[in-house]
Amino acid sequence: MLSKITCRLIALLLLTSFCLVGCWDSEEITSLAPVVAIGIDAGSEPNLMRISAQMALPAAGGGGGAGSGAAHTRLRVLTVEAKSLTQAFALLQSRTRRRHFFLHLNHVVFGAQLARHGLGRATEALQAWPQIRGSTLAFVSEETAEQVLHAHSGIGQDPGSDISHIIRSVSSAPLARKMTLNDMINALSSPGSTTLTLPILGLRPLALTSGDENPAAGVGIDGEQYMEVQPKGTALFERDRWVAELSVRETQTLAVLVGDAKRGMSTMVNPENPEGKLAPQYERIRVSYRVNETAPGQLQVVTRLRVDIRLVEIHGGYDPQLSDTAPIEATVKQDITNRVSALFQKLQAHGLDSVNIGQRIKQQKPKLWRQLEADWLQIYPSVEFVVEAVPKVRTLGLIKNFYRLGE
Amino acid sequence: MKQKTLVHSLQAALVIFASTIGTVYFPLAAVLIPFVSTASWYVVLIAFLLTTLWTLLSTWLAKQAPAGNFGVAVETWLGPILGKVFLLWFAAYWFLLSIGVLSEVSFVFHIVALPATPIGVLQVAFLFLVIYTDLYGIETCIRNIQALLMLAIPLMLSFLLTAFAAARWTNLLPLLDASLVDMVKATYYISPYPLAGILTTLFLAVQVQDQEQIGIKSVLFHWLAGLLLALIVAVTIAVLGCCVTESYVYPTIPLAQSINIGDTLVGVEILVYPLWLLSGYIKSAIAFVIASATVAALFPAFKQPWRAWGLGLIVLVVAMLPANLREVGRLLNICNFHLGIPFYLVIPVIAIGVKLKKGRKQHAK
Amino acid sequence: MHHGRKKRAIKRPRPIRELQQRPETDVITGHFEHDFQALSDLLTNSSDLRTSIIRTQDGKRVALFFYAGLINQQILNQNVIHPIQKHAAPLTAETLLQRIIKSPTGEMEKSLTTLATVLAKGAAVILMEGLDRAITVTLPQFHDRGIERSQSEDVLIGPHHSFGEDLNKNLGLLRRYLSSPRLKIRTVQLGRISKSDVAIVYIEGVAQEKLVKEAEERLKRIDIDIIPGVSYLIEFLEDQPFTLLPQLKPTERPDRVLGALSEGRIAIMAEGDPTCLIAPFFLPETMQSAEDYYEKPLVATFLRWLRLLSAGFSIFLPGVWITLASFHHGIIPPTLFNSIVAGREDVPFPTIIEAFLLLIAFDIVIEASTRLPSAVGQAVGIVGAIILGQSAVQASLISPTMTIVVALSGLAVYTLPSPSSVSAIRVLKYFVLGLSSLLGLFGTIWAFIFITIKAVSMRSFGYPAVFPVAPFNIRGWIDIFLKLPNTMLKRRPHFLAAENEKRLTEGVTPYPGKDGSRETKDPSS
Repeated sequence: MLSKITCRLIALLLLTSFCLVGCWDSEEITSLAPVVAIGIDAGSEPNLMRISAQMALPAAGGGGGAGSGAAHTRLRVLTVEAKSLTQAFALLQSRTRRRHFFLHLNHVVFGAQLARHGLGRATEALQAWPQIRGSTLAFVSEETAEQVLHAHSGIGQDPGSDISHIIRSVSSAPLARKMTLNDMINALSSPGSTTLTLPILGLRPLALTSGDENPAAGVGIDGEQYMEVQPKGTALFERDRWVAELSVRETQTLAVLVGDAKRGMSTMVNPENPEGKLAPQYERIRVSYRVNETAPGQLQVVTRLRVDIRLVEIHGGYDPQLSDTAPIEATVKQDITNRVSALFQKLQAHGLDSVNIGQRIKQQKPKLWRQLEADWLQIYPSVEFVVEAVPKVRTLGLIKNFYRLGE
Repeated sequence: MKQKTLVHSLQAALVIFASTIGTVYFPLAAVLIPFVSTASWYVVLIAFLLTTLWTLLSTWLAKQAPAGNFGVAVETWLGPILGKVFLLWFAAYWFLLSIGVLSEVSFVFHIVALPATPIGVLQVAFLFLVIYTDLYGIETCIRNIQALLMLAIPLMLSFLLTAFAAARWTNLLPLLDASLVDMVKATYYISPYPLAGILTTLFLAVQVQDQEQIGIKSVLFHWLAGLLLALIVAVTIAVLGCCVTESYVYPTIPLAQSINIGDTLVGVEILVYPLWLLSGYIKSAIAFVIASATVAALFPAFKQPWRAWGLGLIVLVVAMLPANLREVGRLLNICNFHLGIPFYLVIPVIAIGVKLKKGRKQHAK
Repeated sequence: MHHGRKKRAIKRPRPIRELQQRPETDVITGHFEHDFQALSDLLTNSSDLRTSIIRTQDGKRVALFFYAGLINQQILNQNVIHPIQKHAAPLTAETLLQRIIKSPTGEMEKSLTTLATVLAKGAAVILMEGLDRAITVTLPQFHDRGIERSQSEDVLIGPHHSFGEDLNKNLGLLRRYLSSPRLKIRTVQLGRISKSDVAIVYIEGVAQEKLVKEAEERLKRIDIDIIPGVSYLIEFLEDQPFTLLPQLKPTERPDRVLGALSEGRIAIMAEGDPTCLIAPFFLPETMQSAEDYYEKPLVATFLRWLRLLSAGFSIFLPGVWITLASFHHGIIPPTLFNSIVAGREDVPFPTIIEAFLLLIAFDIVIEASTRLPSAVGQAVGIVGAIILGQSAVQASLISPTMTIVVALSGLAVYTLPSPSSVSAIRVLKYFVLGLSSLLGLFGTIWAFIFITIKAVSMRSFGYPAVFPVAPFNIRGWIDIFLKLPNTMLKRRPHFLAAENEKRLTEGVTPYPGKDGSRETKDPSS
């Protein structure tokens, strides 16, 4: 009869031997190649996709041995054509020694051609991949996605950080709307109530001056011009096809209207004095919608924007002591109303409900929505949009008397 | 089961809470949305409010039986033969639940975190913990659950709190759009979840020291569990939106993926896996220990080390049978709907029976 | 309650034949030559034994036995030998005891074996012709160190006294601080050869009687030849001796013992050991230091959190690190990822082996510096920490991040004030690391649950060892995380104290203006 302790020791021994067999999933951190961006373009044939992966390969800092120096990364872009994402990843993997690792994936870029033909299939494939998080950011490229991935950075260390900057500035000055894969799936799978929009990434030549660290870096081997990424507004989708776009200025308005941005700014001319300029900052914008059925089948949507204004730059035509802010508020009100109405008109002209008015109706009046749901996109262009802007000057700044030229 | 287990009512209530929550909060939102979409969260509350009746019945039944032993209690309610049948059914429910949760947890962990590790290894390792708990008996199991809750609850709350930042509460609108039929349907589909808590109450209430306390405490913790589940469902929908939530089996995982704290702490889904394992262990251990104790009441000759290892072996064999997560789901459905739902009918019937018997006795006097 | 006792069948060691066991001749007969011979035979081969025969004035022979190193010979001469020699009247036992030896420690004893034991405890044995009993006079003079500062449990604020090796002095120390007659000491003699005194100390009316009984029973069950000290008894007293985690709290500080006694616990002390065992001991108390009660409550709370964090770090950090660095890389933020890779690029070993090597190296350094004389120890610590670590990193044998992880987890454990928990955690770390390197996060959590089961199943003298956590007790639970001001600690721990749970009367805090006499007077009026 074995004693209890002997039994335990044998168990321990077995466990130890078990340990020697194990470590199935263990993988050295140095054997990984984090994929930070994926680009998806239309392939050369209809059923092919052209997939690019941008990898950030960590490398030890320049001087000294290991352990010294800061880490920096080398970026590498690989492109393959494949029928499916699985095949593409397998092909990409065959071209690198390190295992591709998707949990650092920052963004996915869809090529313009693919987006215009419909990116539903690609989105489905991305969702199905367990390693790709739903919170990954999504963009469309003005040209091809591959070009965007090949672009260099103007402000940060890598193009990925540039894109993060663009997105992060949403709260202060929205240059783009933040869209994730989950948002895309939500928009694509509830047609009618929500409409897909994606930020457009354009390219411009990387212009570095002598003030930069390495002015020669703007030009590559053989005098090739390096490009950098730039936000170019918003792509509007009908279902999953890119049909129209908004400029950066219109994107700002859109971001405010859908609730992505709470701040903004504008520069406007004094209607009474063409030389006078007004550049207020919008501190806190609260948007609310009210849906009224004026007549059967006739809808009126009242968009109410309450805006807190911070006055910064004021030239000419205004009371220097700002004793009465009413004229300023009137100007701002006009400006906001114009901008918002213009956006609605443009969207209605394209028949696109990119502000997701459908969703608002669904949330506020679910019964009404059930009647409208089937032919919402036919009703939408005839909806009457009323814009009510309520600006209020909240912050005047500390200047008591604005300096006036020649007075 | 000779000696009386001494469980404090608060301890019992905590175990009831743990057994109700279990691993339920992982798939719950996805189960509900197809029926009631944005109304899911308050349907959870309604379901838990409705099932309070059964919790109360269980504690009332416990007071009608001699304290200390579940087997004896069942016998006083139902008589020897029916009692044996009931015990067998009770044991089968918990046993199958234990197997289901065990394979579910191992499968999900295998899929999301350890794809190269053989699933069998995870199951054996997990089962070992469960058997080990049973070897120490129900009292240790209860205390262990209490200790683990000290970690699990703060972990869950901090997870929810971080998810709050990403929530878009307009996703929860429209508020009152679900039809009554859909709500009833949804309530039926989630009714097995509170049932685990109710049956735990039935089992533990007879063994509690201070029986006058257990009624109020078990109801309180039953509601608390419902509240927490409703909160989780609401946050999940608010963060992910209905469509995305519906498209996953376990929406809590994409929920964790979308947590983003200051653009630096991204991808904290790893933090959810401990929660997943802890709650899986808690539920599966409760189920196994209750099953084992019921088996002991049925077959007193089946003594402890052999009982735990013997039952464990069966669990292992059955847990290895499902080939994928779908089949595990089917196994759990058999457990929840075929074995579980009838308890909702049987418990009131037993209560009425006991009440009648009691009335007749008083009448005879 | 009786769970542990039932489970652990006590294997009694086969009784070894006692060396000088002569049942028939084991008593003083009254026949002087015979008795003298018998006692000398019993104590033969001890060169430190002094025997002398003196004659009284009436011609009786009186034999003296004592060990040279244990007795104050000057007092012996003054108080025993001289008076006997000078005594004029006929000498009887009574006069000898009451008139001549004015020491209160004088006693009559018949058994030879007891005499031998008493001799070893610092007594002189007097055999008198014609008396069928021996007289013992205890005049001990041990060469003991004085009351010193505690080496292993030193604090900055509060009393610095620590126990010494002498049991009587230690008990005296306790008596001095707690001058109530309710401080009770029960002594059990243990060890067939060593005959060591083991004392159970408790406060009557505060400690539960069943606890004292349980301790006495457990002690009496121990049947062993020699007890080197009370620390040796720990495994005999614990419910689960095979478990790593401590179930009794060893301490050498009288103030800690007093604190424990006032909560209704008992203390077990033995001759020749400065350590005192406190029972029952609840695991969460590992985080509490004696200093906590002398510090400001907020500081003490901070320190408790720090210790909690440190304990978590020291057990789980290497395991969690392995989990992150070689299983679930997704959680590591990209920038950190890059710097880890940069540090690891040239390291030849897998992360797991690297961690094991470094942990073992760290423990070697720690162990070496505790064993080495203090002057050298510090130097070794520096060499180990700086030179070994630095050169290993520079030689690309290990990565810098791993050094940080190992050093942090290795050092963090020493924030815990309880040495027995420290050694337990040092071993547990490897257990967690092993499982983590096998199954990643699954292994880490597995290890955590396993440790919890083990800890929760443990009992310390019949009490659940993780008391305020499970079974849950709100007051005790708060005490883990918050050190309330001493004025708010009004009750003794639930279910430990006998009948009077309350330890503080209401209204002891000096609120100005609460009663008329304390009202502050306005100086201007």
